[in-house]
Amino acid sequence: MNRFSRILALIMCAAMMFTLLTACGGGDTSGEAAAEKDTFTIALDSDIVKLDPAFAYDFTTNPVVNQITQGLLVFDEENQLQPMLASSWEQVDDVTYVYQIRDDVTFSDGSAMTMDDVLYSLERIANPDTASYLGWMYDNVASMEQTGDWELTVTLAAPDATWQYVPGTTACHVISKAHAEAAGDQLGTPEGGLIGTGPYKFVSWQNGTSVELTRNENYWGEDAGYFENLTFKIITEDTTRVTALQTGDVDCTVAPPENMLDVIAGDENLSMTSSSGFGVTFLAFNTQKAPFDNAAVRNAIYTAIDLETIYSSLIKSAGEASTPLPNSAALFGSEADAWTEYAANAPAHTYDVEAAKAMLAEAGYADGFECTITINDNSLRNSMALAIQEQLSQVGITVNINKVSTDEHTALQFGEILDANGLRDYDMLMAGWEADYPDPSGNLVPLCQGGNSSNAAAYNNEEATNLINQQLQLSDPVARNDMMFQALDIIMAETPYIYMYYPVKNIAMNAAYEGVTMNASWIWNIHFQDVHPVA
Amino acid sequence: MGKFILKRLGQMVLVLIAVSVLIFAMVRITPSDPVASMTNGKNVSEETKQELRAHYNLDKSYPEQYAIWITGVFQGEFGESFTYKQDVDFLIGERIGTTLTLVLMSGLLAILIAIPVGVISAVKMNTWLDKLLSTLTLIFVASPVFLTALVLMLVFALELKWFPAIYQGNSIKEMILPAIALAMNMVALTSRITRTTMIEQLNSDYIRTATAKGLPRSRVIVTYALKNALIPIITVTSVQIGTMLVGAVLVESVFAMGGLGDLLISGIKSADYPVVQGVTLLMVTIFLVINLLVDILYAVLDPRIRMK
Repeated sequence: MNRFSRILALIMCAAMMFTLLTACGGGDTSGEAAAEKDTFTIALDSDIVKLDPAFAYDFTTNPVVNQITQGLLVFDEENQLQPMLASSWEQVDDVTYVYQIRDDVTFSDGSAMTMDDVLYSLERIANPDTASYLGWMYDNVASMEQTGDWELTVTLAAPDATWQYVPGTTACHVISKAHAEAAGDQLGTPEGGLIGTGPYKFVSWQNGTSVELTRNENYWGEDAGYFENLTFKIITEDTTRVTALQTGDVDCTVAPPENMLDVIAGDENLSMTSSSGFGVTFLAFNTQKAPFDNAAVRNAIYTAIDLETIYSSLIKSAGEASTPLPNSAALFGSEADAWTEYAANAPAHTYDVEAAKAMLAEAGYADGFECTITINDNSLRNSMALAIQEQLSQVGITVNINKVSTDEHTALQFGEILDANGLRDYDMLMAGWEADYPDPSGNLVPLCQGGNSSNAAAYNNEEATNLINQQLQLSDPVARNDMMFQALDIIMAETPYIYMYYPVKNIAMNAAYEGVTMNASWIWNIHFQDVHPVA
Repeated sequence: MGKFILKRLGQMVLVLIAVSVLIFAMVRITPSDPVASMTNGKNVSEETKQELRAHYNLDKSYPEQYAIWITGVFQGEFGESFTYKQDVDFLIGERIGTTLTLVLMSGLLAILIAIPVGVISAVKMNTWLDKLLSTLTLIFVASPVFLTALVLMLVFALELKWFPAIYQGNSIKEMILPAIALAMNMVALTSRITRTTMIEQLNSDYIRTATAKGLPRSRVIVTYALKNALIPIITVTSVQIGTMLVGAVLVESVFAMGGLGDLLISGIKSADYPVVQGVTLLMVTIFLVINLLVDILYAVLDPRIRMK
């Protein structure tokens, strides 16, 4: 008879059932007993690039890969190098480094790690055909040879101050040669996977969704992970990542969004582990373009900006207050004494509107001028640009804010986009840089060396560049410091950059857990094996 | 009929070729350098950058790049993703299930809610109930999917703790919030259409005749009026399903579902040309296929359309 009325009734029933289900479906997602869990879930803000140390060079890929593979050395929480797969090491002369490799290491498949695996792993990353993101670290290596049963000797082409740190990075992570050769092109993909010597081993990687690891039962070290499984859940939306942490859907998020740190601090169920970082957020003047080619104009702008207020009202817990140096104290590394003294005597920033006006008038810009600050879509950078816009209006400079996509911003910062004359295509650019290792030259070289693509100010002072290049070829720290101080004296007088703040590194966790290991260089050094419930 | 379908298929192929050129050009118009994105501005030697350019054919001319891409597409190969170092067809294959489930579930949910709401509004025309439902649907139609999704998450996951905040593929419960978020816009539009066409039908002569014959009210509404009102409703719904694919991009991103939308957004952010091209082309194809199916359905229902 009336088929339609029966269908309609069914539809209505279904709709009602659905509503009921929705209403009663309340479960306690956060109330799981912490002690019974065997999986620890970590939120990442984007998918990993590849399960391969050769491509582990960012803040999402590394937290995963670092659990599976290990380096010859490792940075401890004070940013000092410590043994890992190499039990000891020695710098024999200016260009020769000798590493004693451990003979008791096994891969997660149970096979023993041999010198063959070590050499294969290092040479693979050094080989340009691999197109590894870390291949450049081997640019100055002349040879890598086995010189004893368990001895590796690295010879450099020329003395180099930074090689010492490379064995602590993913560039020297060791993978199983047998597995890598069997996997071929599939190495590091969801099908091919990765076999290393770390406390966890690879289980699965569902693209764009999650990566699953499980405890390595053949771990050569003392303790493999506390939790049986680690799940890395990819959550690209900032609000969702923090909400999932609050609801207990995830237990931890690395690099929580800067503009949501207050939300995390205000939630008593969450805790935050912080460490000062190697990075700097700066405002770069395009020194190729008038009027920013004039150091007097740059100094006037520097004097007209109230950095203290910007720090106390905008930056707050997102970073440490800046100094006239391109890096925070975290990067002083083993030379902390000399650098702390130098930093204390460096000319401090003074905020003085009248003085800034006088400097501008002297430079021929008594009536100011109009210019642009280019930023990417980042709420903190946006707020800082607005503050600078307001402050510079006091000295007659009209600032326009040009917001571009992060992708375009990156291309601008590294000089991949140039104007018709082959010059950098912006007036002022707000951006960031982060050193790869705890060496005092880590930010100085890329930002201030003439011709370096990371030198967003396109700053080129011949004398400073010569000093920077010379110190890179020395290994005596005192002589290096002296050259860097001389270079910095020149650079600080010319203000190619205004350093806004030094971002801190944060990990937000459910307060029920503790024990994540990290430090300023946590791109190489974030470990979850000791994470455990709070007693 | 076969001739009609063949003709429409031919048109579809032409449209797809035009669209492929458009997509190819548009991803390259954006001022970004994929190699800079790939290496994320890190300290990578010029040699490595050249290797990467050569590996992904970025050192070739645009027509050559297009030819390589489109030949691959015809062989079912969408190229290798710049960021994931994996084949795009594999990436799509892994994610399409989530997206299709989401779209189908939302579509079904939307129809289950929208048609009864529309029918009730029409039958109770101009009463308080009708006005309440109209206001509610107006709010939903005006609210952007992205906002609806966030509000639903903050209310039902964070505050009430009824549902998980993210989709992990463990249970259907995790799909409920995303499906509601995506369905809301469609509920609004479909129920408005249902209401309008139902009112039209209910005022027709044949309804008066049926009522005069003494048939029960429910049977008059459902068997006579709704049956005739269904044709415009099907039209709107099918177009809406296509639109949902676009809305799914945003919902997937909010609920961390790792579907095609997530892939597309991350591809756009990192100038991953093969991913953006592949996913966009696939979405356009699905849209066109749905339209084709609807056209065929019309032609089956109404022979006049076949003649045009």
